Amino acid sequence: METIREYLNNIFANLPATDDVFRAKQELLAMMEDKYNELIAEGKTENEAVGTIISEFGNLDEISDLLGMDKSQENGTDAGADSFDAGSRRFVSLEEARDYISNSVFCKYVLGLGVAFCIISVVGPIMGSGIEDLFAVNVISRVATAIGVIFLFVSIALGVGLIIISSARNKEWKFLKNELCYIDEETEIFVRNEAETASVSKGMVLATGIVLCSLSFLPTAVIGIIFENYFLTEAIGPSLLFIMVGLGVLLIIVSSARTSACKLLLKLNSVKVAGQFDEDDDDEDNFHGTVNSDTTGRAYNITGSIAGAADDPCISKVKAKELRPVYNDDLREVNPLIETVLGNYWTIVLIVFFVGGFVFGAWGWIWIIWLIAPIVRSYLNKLV
Amino acid sequence: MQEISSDVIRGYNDTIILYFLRQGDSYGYEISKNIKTVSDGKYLIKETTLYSAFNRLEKNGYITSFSRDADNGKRRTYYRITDSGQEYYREKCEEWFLTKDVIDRFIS
Repeated sequence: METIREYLNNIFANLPATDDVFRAKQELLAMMEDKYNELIAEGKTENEAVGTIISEFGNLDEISDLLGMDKSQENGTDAGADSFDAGSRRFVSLEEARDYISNSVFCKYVLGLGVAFCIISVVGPIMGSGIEDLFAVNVISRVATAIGVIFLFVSIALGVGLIIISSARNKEWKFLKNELCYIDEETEIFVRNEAETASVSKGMVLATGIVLCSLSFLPTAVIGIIFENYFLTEAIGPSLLFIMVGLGVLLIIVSSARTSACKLLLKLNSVKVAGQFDEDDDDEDNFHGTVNSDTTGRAYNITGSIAGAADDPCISKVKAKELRPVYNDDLREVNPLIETVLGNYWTIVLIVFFVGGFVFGAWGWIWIIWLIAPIVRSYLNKLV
Repeated sequence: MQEISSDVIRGYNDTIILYFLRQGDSYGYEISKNIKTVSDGKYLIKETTLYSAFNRLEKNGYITSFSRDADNGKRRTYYRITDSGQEYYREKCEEWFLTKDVIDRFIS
């Protein structure tokens, strides 16, 4: 309910303090509150209720004439949005923001599953050879080995497929990073609300993932100490290790899905040059931190102060136009290697994983690359 | 599902609201909920649309508003239809019959 009150306050922030305006606000609030109570009573979560209410609220233009907003005032309230338009920013609607969030959550899940499959694939040969030894010279042992190898390839194929699907789905939304975009107050409050709700579960999921990864050696160690059975120590134990790491990595990847999508959306308004906060592999990366942008204030200024909003983007537009080509070329010369690496980062990691496994037979430890890779990547991103 | 166009329905929001007020005094959310129910969820009126309609109706003297405590003790603005509101409702109904008759001739 606080979110709704805040939403309404922001919408009415620039209107004159007349009786009409006050009454309109009270009435709208009362209607929204009734609706909110009913949605909650129906079993909707707070988050869902707020989302529904905001998306069904309508447009203030409809009541503007009743509220004695003359033309100039109307322009005043919309100053922020209008000047963004003038700066040829692309408008991202509430619907689009919602789609983007659910899409990028989906992509993270798919990516997480893909990586998990790649890690868990090793369980096939391990179990295969375990069963093989169990039955010694027998048809069963050969079948077991074969099934183990088939499992390896199938789950790697699945994993790679999922990783490719994930990055392909993400491409549709590349414009958010490559173009200058903006969201309005309504969307911003909605996204903020989403992010807040998600941040609780984020911590728990992340912690579980980390615990799973760091305790993954435990079953192997415990089984090794307690049992002497070869099958248990050499097949079940190591298999559990990979399954735990796979699950752990999946949780770690998935944990930040929703919050990071929200974070990107909330940053849109403060970005002065396309691609400035790029995190993903594309060659626009290189203005990272080089453009002297002032990200303070305006981005989160949801009250939409007229003066600040009006002239700021114009300046930044000029800045962007001037700086863009210069910095672009400069950095291209400085960092061609890092740029290429970043552009194909996950492909490279995958190749290293396979080469390590197949060529050097290092399946036992090469999976660590999936833990190291994200860290190296964020380091590389800072360099650029 | 095909959504109803707000442009088409705009001219009849007032009529819809008056229809409910003819059955008794009511407040904002109740009316919006009734609209949803009676239309089988095919028409969801936006809060801003509803409020602007109330305001317009009241300025034209078709409805009056007053404050009253609801059953749960919450203070609410209730709306009541006036005599000229009743008259206006009848006129709008006539108008709709005419409109419907005319438009129907062009719908195949």
